Amino acid sequence: VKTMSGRRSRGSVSEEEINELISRLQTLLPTARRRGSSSASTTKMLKETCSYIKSLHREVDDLSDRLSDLMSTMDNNSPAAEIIRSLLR
Amino acid sequence: MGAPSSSTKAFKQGFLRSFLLSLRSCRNGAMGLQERKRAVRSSADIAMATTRGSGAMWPQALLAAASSSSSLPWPRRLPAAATVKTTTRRKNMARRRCLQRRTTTSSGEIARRLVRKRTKVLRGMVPGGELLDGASLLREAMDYVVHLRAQVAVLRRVSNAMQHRPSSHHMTGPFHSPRFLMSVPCMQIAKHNHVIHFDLYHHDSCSGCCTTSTVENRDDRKGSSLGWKPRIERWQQSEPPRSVCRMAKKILYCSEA
Repeated sequence: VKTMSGRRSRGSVSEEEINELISRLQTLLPTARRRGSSSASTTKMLKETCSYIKSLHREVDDLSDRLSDLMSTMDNNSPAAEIIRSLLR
Repeated sequence: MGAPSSSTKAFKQGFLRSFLLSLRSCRNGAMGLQERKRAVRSSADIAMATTRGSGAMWPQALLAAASSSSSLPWPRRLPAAATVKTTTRRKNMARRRCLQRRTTTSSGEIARRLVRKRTKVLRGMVPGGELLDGASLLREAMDYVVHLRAQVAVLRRVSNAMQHRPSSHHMTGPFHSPRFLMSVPCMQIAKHNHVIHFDLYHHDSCSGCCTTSTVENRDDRKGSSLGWKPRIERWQQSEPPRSVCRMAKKILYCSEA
């Protein structure tokens, strides 16, 4: 939901908007402590966001490595492989 | 983290479809292992970016990076030549400072420097982040995180399903992976103007580790499997392995709406 786009008139963004974004971001992160969410500090949020994204990237890498290994060992005669072959042709 | 929203679900379905389709090219046995790994990774990225579409900035950046070189490690940055400089340097600095303004502690200067440093790191992690000011960067980061999570979830289910696939001429008990694999035909059935959904949220009945997906024909919510029959019959005409037909029938009569 895009809100408050009108407040950009002076090229600056209001503090409340930033705060709102930070607290919304906080709810996304797995390690968020939700007691009195206003205490989220910017630096901490930024740091957690960065490390969360990094760990997600790593997961994607691991999973795609796993997938490519699985694909290479797929038994060529298995019905599963046959299905995929015929359907993805 | 709350129930997945319907837009996340739609994203996962679209992503799965695009990803599986692009995997087709990776099944070529002539690829070396490293090459295939890179191909799978960029298939995932490209599928994620194209499914997300134009609702955010990062998909374009991700696509640009993926197409220019599929061997870039994380984070994928825009090549310098492709960076669009739409604002002056001073404006960019002012925008970036809006995040720092939020820090009002007495050790303000140090905190502001930290914020600046961390913001820079975040820019590197979000595709296209270099162009964004503080608030947009946060919004993009949130959007990116949500879709990254969805991507991870789908990839995990796909690899679980493939791990539990039956080996040749031998069917494992639960039809989880066949069910998943059989749902792939729905992409073909879409040609027949049925709207097919991957239901990735259907009950995970097998200790949560396998993908259970059912195919629902939107036109008939009573779980009709009518959409399958033409396909299966065509297979029967061209004599697919018998086990395939058996699997298909079992899935047809097992899966509920």
